[in-house]
Amino acid sequence: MTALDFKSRAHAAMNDAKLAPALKRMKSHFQTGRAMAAARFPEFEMLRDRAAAIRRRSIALMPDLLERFEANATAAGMQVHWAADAAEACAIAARICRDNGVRRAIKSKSMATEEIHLNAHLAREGIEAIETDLGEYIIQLRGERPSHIIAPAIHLSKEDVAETFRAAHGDLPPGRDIAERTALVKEARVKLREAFLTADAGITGANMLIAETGTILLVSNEGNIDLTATAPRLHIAIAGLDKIVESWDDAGIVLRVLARSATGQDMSSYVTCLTGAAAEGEAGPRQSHIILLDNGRSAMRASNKAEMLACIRCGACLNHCPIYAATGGHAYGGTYSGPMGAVLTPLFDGLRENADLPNASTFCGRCQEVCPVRIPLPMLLRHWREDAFAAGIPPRGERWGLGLWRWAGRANWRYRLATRAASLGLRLTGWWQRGTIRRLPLAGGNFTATRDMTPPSGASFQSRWKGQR
Amino acid sequence: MTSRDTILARLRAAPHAAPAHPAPWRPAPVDDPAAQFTARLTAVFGTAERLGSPADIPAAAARYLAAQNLPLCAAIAAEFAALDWEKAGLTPLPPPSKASVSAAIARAQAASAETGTLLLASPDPEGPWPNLLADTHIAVLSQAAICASFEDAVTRRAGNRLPRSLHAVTGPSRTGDIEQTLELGAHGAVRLHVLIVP
Amino acid sequence: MSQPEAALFVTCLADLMRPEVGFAAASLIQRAGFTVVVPRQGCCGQPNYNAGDKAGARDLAKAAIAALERFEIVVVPSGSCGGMIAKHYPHLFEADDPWRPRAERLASRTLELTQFLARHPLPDGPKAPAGKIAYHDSCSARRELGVLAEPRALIAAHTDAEIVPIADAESCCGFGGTFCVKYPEISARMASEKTAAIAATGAGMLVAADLGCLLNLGGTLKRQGSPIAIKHIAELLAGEP
Repeated sequence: MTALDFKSRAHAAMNDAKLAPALKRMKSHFQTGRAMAAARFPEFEMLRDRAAAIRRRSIALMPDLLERFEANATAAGMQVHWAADAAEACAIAARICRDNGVRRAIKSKSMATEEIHLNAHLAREGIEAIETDLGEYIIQLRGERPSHIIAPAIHLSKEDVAETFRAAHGDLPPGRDIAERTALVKEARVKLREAFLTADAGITGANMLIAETGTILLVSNEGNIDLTATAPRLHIAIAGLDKIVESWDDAGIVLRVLARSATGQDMSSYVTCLTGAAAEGEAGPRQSHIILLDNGRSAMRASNKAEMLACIRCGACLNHCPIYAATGGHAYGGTYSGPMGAVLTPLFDGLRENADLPNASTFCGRCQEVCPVRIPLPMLLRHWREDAFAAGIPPRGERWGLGLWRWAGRANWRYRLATRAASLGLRLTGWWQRGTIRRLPLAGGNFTATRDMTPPSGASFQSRWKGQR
Repeated sequence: MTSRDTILARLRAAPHAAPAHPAPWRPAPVDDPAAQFTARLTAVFGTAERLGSPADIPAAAARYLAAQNLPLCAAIAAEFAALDWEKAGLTPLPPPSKASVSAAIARAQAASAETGTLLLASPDPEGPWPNLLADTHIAVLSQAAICASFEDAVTRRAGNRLPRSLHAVTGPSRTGDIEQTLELGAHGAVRLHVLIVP
Repeated sequence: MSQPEAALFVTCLADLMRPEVGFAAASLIQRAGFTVVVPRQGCCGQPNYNAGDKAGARDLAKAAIAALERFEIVVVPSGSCGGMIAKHYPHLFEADDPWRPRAERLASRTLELTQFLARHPLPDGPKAPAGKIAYHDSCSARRELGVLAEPRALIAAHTDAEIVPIADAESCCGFGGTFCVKYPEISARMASEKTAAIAATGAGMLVAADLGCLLNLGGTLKRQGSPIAIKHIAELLAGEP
């Protein structure tokens, strides 16, 4: 992964002239889409409440529901595997491929497989994994990671994509016209159709695991998931433990808030429900596997961040986050970005290494407001900050400053003395800088780098208020 | 201890209080499900036509293909092979099992009016292939197969035993992955036309 | 004299940076029929709380609770500090901590200034001249406290202002307390997007109920050479120049 820290990555992203218009387009497109979908569906808020309860119930009953899922999936002919961590999940997937002579696998977009770096692991085992979601396909060709959980190539322009396709599709005539999006989509369709029809295995994630029937439910708009899970002779799904829901009724409610929150659609174009393996003569693979992935989820469930497991990966928190809108997804440095990424990445990749992520938030609360399952994301970020503070991770200067502020505030005379000194200092600085403070020392300099500061007009309010008691 | 045991033990070591199970939800019934199905499908760039009789299918399909400036040929499901395609001027092609085809005509066994969604299933004679491998998918849908909701459509199609795969398809395949701009026909059908028959 | 009392929690930022806001808020509380009391007070503890220093925040909250809990009504001219007391204080203490019920009681009695004035209206008087203004909602007022209609109704009732809407009004201005010095580049980007939206309204003045947002946006506007003035809603309603 990248050696730079969050601030450096954010700096680079904010100085990337092509990224800003892409992010602006993303923001207005997704925000308008969600708002319109919500407006034409009067039951939206009520179903958000129910979806929130369904997801919390799924977290609470997780062990029982997973066992139920396992029993029903097994009875239907699916093979269920459990992986404690990323290494184990990769090893299981590779073993299944090896045992079945798989050389080439097609994949649909799966954040779980991104999280465990499955493609790199399979490549080391000599198995080629081809991404089929258009956005994932593009970034795979470019050797990048997704910058948005539902729109992985959001940071790229059509010119970038054309350049990528020219480099990757060397067998096609170099003079072909792929300047327009329609031509690019068509080229990918043709290229990937070959892959769908010749691959030995299909690898997918899961949006929900329905316990009552042992069904894997997936959503997509391109139809690539249906092909991935149906065309090859073998199917492997990888799903976080958190994907579990109890029933089809529950899944139906979650689906209704998911698409509206994600893209502003009433229903995703494709909802794919997979149960067991195909019988003789039935469309689909004769062998079907699911790998249930823990990778820190059981630890998170036991922590004060358990509510994060309710997340249904819609991306609404990214789409409405002002930090994400400024920096894009790559600045977060992990698999997931935006507010949900800032909660998840410290779990997967370490708090000390990612301490900036929970801090880079104004706690504006927009993420929580739009979250379809009402996850209190600012509160979860705050919990990470508390963990970091307890572990002594914030810089020494910040910890001393907070300690001093706490000490001053515990006795009012000390607070008043501090305010009096600060007021005097600011007024003197203002006088010195001719009425407007344009430069402050230390951390204050970060404020005045882009802002003027009007010095206080006089001594503090409390020192001038008569008859204070 | 296996990973399964370890994971389940870790989960059980952290008990959580479960909120009550929320009530299921279904959309309110509508007077004319076929009209709602058509309206919702049209909103997502699909199209539909109501026919007076199954005998009208060949002419309607040919009319649709001609209007799209597409060649008058299609893979035709065995169920409809006996219809008079010749009279409609439409050339039958082999069914799209593991090979791409320009157009395919097959039955959809169930649908949901709520969102204009077709439900295809792995044990259907053509499976989900007419949608996944044809550029143009012409689905034949009985009016009686249009249910109020996704859940009702699943129940109608699957009953008590779920098939290996159910594919709920709402409009043509689409992507917004390049510059957030909608393009139809990413991997599944580029065009989706539904013929609703009595 | 049986006038009820209301405590003013002035906030550190107003206390230090813009004392006029404190005086304006006091005069409004008075005009609403209350005797204003300003108990000796410090910081609500939000800087510590937001930095993950929960124990530090707890200490500062205890001092604020001890200073304010004897009043039936506590008025705060800030959605941010008001939200800290009204929404977060109870979470600082465990359920069995004796401070928990005290925090809850104070939380239930604490009102952001425009919330207070919506419940305890000002008497009608001449409308202060204001012209075309842009009103910015702080995130804490809008989302933590659900304050949206109150400031607009007050401005409409007591000034002749024409309020022009700011595009993308729901977006944060980028202040975020210590966020603006910890992540100055991101903060500056957010602030400049907001000031561009404000400038596009054609308003001559920016009004808000949170000094943090105002110092951030006002400072950015001034650095950009914009003629748009800033005013806290307390100053606007109190008719201060």
